[in-house]
Amino acid sequence: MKTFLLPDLGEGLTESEVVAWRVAEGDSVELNQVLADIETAKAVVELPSPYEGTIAKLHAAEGETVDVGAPLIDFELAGDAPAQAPDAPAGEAPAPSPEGGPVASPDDSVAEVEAEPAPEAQPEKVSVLVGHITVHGGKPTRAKRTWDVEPFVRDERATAAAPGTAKRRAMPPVRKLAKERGIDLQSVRPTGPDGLVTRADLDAVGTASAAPAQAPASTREKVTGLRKHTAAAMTQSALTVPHAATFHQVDVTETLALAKAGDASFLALASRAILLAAKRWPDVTASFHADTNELERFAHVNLGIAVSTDRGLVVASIDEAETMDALELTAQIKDRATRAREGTLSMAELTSSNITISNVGVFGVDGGIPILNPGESAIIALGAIRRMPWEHGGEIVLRDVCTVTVSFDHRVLDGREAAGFLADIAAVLERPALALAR
Amino acid sequence: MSITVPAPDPALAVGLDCPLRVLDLDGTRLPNEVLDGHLTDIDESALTNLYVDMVRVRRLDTEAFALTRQGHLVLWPPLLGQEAAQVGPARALGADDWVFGSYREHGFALLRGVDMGEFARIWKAYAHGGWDPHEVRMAPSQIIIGAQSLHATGFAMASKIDRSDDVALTCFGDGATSEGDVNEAMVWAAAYQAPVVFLCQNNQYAISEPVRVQSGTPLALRPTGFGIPSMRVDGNDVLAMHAAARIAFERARTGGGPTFIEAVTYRRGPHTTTDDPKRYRDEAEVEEWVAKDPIDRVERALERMGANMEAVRAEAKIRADELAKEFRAAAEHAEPPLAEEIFDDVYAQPTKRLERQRAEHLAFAASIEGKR
Ligand SMILES: Cc1ncc(C[n+]2csc(CCOP(=O)(O)OP(=O)(O)O)c2C)c(N)n1
Ligand SMILES: [Mg+2]
Repeated sequence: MKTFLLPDLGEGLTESEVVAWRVAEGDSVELNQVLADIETAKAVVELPSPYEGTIAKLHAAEGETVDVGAPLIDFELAGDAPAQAPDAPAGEAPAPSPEGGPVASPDDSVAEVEAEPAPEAQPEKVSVLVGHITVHGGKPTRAKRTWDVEPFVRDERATAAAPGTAKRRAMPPVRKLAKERGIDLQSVRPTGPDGLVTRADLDAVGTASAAPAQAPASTREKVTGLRKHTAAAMTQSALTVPHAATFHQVDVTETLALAKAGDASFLALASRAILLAAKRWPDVTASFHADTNELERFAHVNLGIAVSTDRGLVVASIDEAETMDALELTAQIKDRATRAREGTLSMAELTSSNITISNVGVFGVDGGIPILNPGESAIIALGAIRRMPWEHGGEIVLRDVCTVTVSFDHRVLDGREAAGFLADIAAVLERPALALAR
Repeated sequence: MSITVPAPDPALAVGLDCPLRVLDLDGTRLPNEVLDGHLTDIDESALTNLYVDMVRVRRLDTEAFALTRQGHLVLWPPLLGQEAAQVGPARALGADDWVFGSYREHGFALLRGVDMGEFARIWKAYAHGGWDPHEVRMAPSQIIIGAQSLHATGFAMASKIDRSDDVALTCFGDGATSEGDVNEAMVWAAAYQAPVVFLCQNNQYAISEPVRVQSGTPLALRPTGFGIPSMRVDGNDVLAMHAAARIAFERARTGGGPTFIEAVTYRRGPHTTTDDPKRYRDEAEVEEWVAKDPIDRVERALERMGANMEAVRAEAKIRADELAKEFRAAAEHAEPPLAEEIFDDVYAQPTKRLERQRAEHLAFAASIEGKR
C-alpha cells in the first residue's frame, strides 16, 4: 500500500481543494492517468496518478480542502510489483522497484503509510524566478558585505563582550530550539566557542530546572471555513471599495407600536421602509464592476439579512423582497435566520443579495460602520431601540429611538443619494402611515 | 578589427506576410525558394529521425509535467506545441556550436546531450546550474528574460576575435524581444557582425500577455532595424525550422554575421505548472493550434513518402517510453544536495576565506549531528 500525500501544486501553497474525483475507490488506474481536478489558489489543475495500481482509499470528499502534505489517496500496488511506465511495450523488463532505489528524500511527497506527515514548516514565497520560488523555513539573513575591512571581525567582537553581561548569542537552530522549549537565552550559561550558547547548554537547562511548562503568551490556530471566507470577503471589500457612511437617529415609536400590535416584526417593518426607499433610490442595489467600469442594475431587490451564527456571519438573501408585505417578510426573515443557524441555506441564497440589513441592535449597540457585502453598494445597520428623552409635539417626552446607519459604495452613490435614501427610510419609520402614500 | 554598422533595410526580412513553410498541414511538401536549397539531403530516414526526436521531446515534457503534479519536481515550464521550433534548429547545430537558452529549452537540452538526471535535479530545485556547459556546449538555463542573448553575443564576439568558426545560438521568447538585453545584444551582434543566431520562439504569450500587445508588426521586423537579416518561419514546421537554422548557421560561419529567426508557434500548455491559462485565453484558440500540431504534420508527410508509419510510431514510442522512465526514476530518486555544496562552485579555485567558511559550517553541522 502506498499513500500519496498532496503535493504543493503551485509553488508555496499550503492547501488545495478537491473539486472532482475522476476515479472511485476500487478503480484500477495507470501511471499518469488523471485522478482528480484540484483547485489551488492559482489554478484548477489535473492530478495525474503517481502509480499504476488500484485506488484503495480516497481521503477527501469533493469540495474538501486538503493541507499540503496530508494523505490524499491510498494505492494498492499490484502484488508488490513496482509502478510501471504506461503502455510499456509487452515483454519489457519491469521498472526498478522504488523500494530498491535510494531512500526517499525527506520532502518526498510520496510516503509509506507509516511515514510521518510532512513537517509543519510554512513555506514562504519569494518572487524571483520564472514565477516564484519557495523557501522552506526561515529566510537566511545575509550579513552586509564588507570587502576591504579586516575579514574576521567576529572573534574580537565575541571576546570583547564579557560573558554574563553580553546579550547571549546562538546559532539560529539553537535559538529556535530555545524558543520551542520556552528557554530565555539570557538565562543560559554559554559553553560554546566565542561565547555561543550551544544545544548542550540548552539541554543542561532542560534537565537542571525542568521548569514547569508555562502557558504560551499567544497561540495560533488555523482559520478555516466561514471565518476564512468572511476574512477574505471583508478584506476584499474594505480594500477595493471606497466606503462612506451616514447616520440618523430616528423616532421609531409608531413603528414599534405597530410591531407590538400586529404579527409583523419590527425588522420586517423596517425592511418595508428600506424597500420603499430603495424604490425611490434604485442605485442603492446596483453593483459596480471595476474591471469593466460598468454599473449593473437589478430588476429586483434581493434583501440580504446578516445573521450571526455559531460558525460566523452569513448574509441570507430574500429574493424579490419588494414584492412582499410585512407579514411575508416576517416569515421569510425567520426562515432565513433559522436555516442560517442550521447551515442549510443554499449557495444561491448565500450569494444573491444586492443590499444588506445588519441588525446590530441585537447586540445592544447603537451602530457602527458596516463593511459592504462584496458586490453591493449599500448596507443598513439598525441600532438598539432605546427609550430616550425626545422632542415630540413641542414637548420633551420619552420616545423609542433607533440609530440607523447606511454604509455605501462611494463609486456608485454620492452623499446626496445615500442621505436621501436614509432620510426616506427614517420618514417611514417615524410615520409608518406614510407608507400608504409611497 | 573594424566595426561596420549595416544600414536598416526592411528587405532584410523574409516571410513577413506569411511565415516560411515547406510542410503543409496535410503533410504535402510545398516548394519554397528560400529554404528548398537547404533541404536537398533530407530523405525519409532524415525526416524519420526528426520525427522520433520530436516524439521524445514531447514525452519528456509531458512526463516532467506529470512529475510536477505528483510532487517530484517543483516547477516545469512546458513546451507542448513548440517541439519543431526546437528540434529543427537543434539538429542543424554543429558539434562545437553553443546554445544559450531560456528555461523552456528542454528540446535543446535533450538533443544536446544534457544528462537527464542532472536536468531533473534542476527542476526539483536540487541544483542551480546542473550540467557541465562545456561538455555539451549548452549554457545553463537562463531565467532572467533575454539575458542569454548577451551571453551568446559575447561568445560570438570572442569566437570572431579568436578566428574560430564556432557559432552561438541564443533562444528566447516573444516577450524577450521587448527586453533591453535582447536589443542590446542585437546592437553588438550587428556592430561586430558576430556569428550569433537569434532564435525567437514566438509562442504568442509572455505568461498572460499576448504578443499583439507588445508589437503591432511581426517580431521579425525588429532586427532589421539593427541591420540584422531575419526570417519569419512556421515554427510548427520542423523542416522549415531546420532549413532556416542551416541558413543562419552557414551565414554566421562564413563571416556573414548575425541572423534572427522568428519561429511562429504556440504554447499549448500553461506558462508553467503554476499558471492557469484559462484565465486569459480562450480554449478555442488552443484548439486551432492543435490542428497545426508539429508532430502530426510530419506523420502525414512520412506517410506520403511511403514510410511504414506503424513501425516508425512503434519505434518512436519505445524510445520515448525509455526516456520517460529514465527521467521519472531520476526525478523520484534525486537526492537533495548537501548544504556544504553551496561553497563548491563559487570560484573555479576556492579562496581561503571560502574554505574557512566551509570548515566552520562543517564543524557547526557536526555539532548538531544526530540531535534533531
Ligand atoms: C528580466 C525579467 N523580467 C521578468 C521576468 C518574469 N518572467 C518570467 S517568464 C516571463 C515571460 C517571458 O515570455 P517570453 O519571452 O515570451 O517567453 P516564454 O515564457 O513564452 O517562453 C516573464 C516576464 C523575468 N524572469 N526576468
Ligand atoms: Mg512567449
